[in-house]
Amino acid sequence: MTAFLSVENVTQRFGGLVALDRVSLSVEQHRIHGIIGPNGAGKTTLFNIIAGVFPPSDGRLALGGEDITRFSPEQRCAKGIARTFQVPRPFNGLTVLDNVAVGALAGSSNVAEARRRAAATIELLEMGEHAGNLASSLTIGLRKRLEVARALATRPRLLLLDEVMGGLHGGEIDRMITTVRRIAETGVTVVLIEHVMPAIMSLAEIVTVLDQGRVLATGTPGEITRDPAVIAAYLGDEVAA
Amino acid sequence: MGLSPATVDLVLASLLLGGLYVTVSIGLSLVFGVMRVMNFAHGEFVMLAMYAVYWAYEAGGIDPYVAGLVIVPAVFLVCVTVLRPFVLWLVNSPPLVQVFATLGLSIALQNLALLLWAGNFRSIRTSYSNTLVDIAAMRVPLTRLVAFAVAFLLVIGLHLFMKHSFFGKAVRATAQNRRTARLMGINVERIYVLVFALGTSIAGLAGVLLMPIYSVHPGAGFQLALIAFVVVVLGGLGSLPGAVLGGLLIGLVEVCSGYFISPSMKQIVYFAVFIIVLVTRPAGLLGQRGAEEVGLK
Amino acid sequence: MTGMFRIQLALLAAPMALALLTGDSFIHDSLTQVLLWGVLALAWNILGGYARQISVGHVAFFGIGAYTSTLLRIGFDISPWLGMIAGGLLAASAGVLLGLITFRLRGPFFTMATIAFAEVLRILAVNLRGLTKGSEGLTLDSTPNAAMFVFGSLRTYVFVAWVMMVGLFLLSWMLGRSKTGLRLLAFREDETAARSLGVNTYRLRLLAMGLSAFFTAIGGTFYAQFLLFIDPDSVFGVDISLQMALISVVGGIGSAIGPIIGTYLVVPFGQVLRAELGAQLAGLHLVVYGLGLIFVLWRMPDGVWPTVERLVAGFSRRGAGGAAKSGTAA
Repeated sequence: MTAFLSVENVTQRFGGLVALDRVSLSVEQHRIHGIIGPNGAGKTTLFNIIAGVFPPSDGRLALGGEDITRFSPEQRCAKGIARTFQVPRPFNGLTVLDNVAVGALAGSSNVAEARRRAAATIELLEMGEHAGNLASSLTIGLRKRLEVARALATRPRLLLLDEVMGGLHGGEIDRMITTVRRIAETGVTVVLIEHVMPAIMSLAEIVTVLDQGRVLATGTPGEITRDPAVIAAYLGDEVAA
Repeated sequence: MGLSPATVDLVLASLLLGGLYVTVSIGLSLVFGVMRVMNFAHGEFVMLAMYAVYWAYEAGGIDPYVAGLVIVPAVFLVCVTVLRPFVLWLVNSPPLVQVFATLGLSIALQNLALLLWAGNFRSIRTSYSNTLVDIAAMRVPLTRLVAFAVAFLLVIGLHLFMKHSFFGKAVRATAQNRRTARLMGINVERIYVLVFALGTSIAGLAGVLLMPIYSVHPGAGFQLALIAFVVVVLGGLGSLPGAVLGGLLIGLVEVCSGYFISPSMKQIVYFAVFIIVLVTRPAGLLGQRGAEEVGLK
Repeated sequence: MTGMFRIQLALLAAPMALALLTGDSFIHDSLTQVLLWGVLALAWNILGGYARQISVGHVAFFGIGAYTSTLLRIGFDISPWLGMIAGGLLAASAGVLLGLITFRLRGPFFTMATIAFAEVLRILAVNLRGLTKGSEGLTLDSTPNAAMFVFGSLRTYVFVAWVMMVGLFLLSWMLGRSKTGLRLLAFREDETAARSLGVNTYRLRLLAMGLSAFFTAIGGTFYAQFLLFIDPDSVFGVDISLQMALISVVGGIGSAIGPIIGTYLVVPFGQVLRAELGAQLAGLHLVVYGLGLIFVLWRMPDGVWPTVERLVAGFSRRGAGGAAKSGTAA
């Protein structure tokens, strides 16, 4: 099966520091792909490169076969890549509905239509009751969901979730897991970076483990949890706990 | 082997003018570098100092440089007292407010000068206004030489002060990250007010040095501010060595374009330089990359 | 909120109503000035309010408009109605070019670049005597001829300026409610997040710049046709840039009615001060402007209109007991 998102030998240097060293991974379409690794492994850097925040020092990125290495964030959005931010960046002065409507603008002919589509997305994320509230008034759990709703409104083919479980408590995590699964069921390919292990274990079909800028292992959750190198580098404490 | 007199003349004139421009601009660079606030009223402080020198001389017979010994500290004092709340409000305001508050101050001060002293150009003639000094077979106006000497000492003094004094270190710490500086026990508010006072009193000093050489009118501040913008962007905002380099370069550009092209178009040349720098290297020659893009941390 | 709507309608209609009610030429003259400033403030607001790119060099576009239509009229007998469009397009191109050069710059850097840009044009206008007659200025034929944008009656000038202001108001209002308007809002709130959602912020800023420059130039042509004399200091002076911006900031940037409110507050005030105090106290009204601006920024950083809106919303909530809707796009 050809890769939908293909990361090929991506290297990223910040001055003398090599954050990513010839990282390659393939994300299959309609799958949920997880990326984990200890702090400083380069997950966020990789994520930013896939999202288009900056181009890699070396290497290539392709979506559905098309080279997108130098595409700007807006261009990537047009190609079907949407992302959330680790620390939510809501449009504070706008309502929840309008926040999501911004995402829906590209595929709508006017604001009213964008708002209608946004309302539907908001329902999907079970945020209907907050639609008229200002984004600044939301709790962290709701802000995370707003991030997802907004990104989803752009009708992406590939959704990048950056530590979307971070800061959420148990019940919220379960709800988010269910939400992500439901999104994937609509056919969206999902790539998620996570620290929250239960989330990765239950959601991801394939997991890539990064450590110190290199790919340590790739496999199903079951496979990587049994991989001694991975356990040594990262999972040991988590599994024990 | 020797340089033609014309070349020496040009170089000398450039240095002298550049020194003046450095004095006018370095305070602005300092304030922006630390507080990320562009004081659009900076030029007005120069202008007001010039008027102060003018009246001290016309009404009191006080020598400009002697008057300067009082004027410069007076500016400092005004900044730490009367302007303190203004400065602190400014630092914590969104960019829009910062720009328009300082613009509002600029408008108010400019027109206050107009109101009080009318729009005509005023200049002073001291006993040494026309004195020429022999330097390297050239004859240079004493007033310009004094201005250059003071500028030179100022730059050295400022550099040493910023590098070695506790205050200087505190200032650099605050400029880099105010939250961390605060956690280290630095009174960030006091630093901001003091930096603003320092930068603005240097502007006052520039006024003192300029008055014996040029004439003043209410709009002089605006003209000087434009030069300061160009110098500071060219040299790199937030960089003191940059302000020095920028000032000298603009002095050179102005003298040369006045000589080779035409005096009335020389402003266009340095604006052209300004635009070119903005396009090619917005951080300036010695500035921190991205300084022109990020806000206060 | 029909209350708000009715207030806005009244504000828009007021100048024309006043012009029709009285025959006093002094009032007509003042009204024309007020309305022209309204046009300029609205034009500035498109870039400064909607896109939050603060320009203090907008007089550059004003001057381009004034000189373009005037030179086309004097040199080629082209009607200023057409010259106005030409000037607008030229200004828009200059604005887009300026935007392309300065697009990376934020905050005060962009502002400084705009100031420098306007000054360059002023100096050019003074020095390119072959083209502009330098400081001597250019004079236009004052024979009334509607096709050549010269009117015999002052009231007609009021009407034309009024139509321009209302037209630009409607355009601003529609822009605010359009897809572009929502994108601009998102851009203002958080540019990075907006880009990740597909908003081409680069194009957005250029669009705002182009529109803003175009309409400012139209104001410049009107000015030229109203005074029938232009020179570099009058049409490229920084004080015009400052007042355009000041008016919008005081009235409330980011909304369509804000600049109009700012105009009604600021301009007549200046006119009265200047008339009452005359030449002896030249500059006093500007001192008040400067201090007033600082005061408004301190107490009402959003401007007068949003503050008024909030007050009215407060009253109606207390009265009707209903919840006020949260902020809308325009």
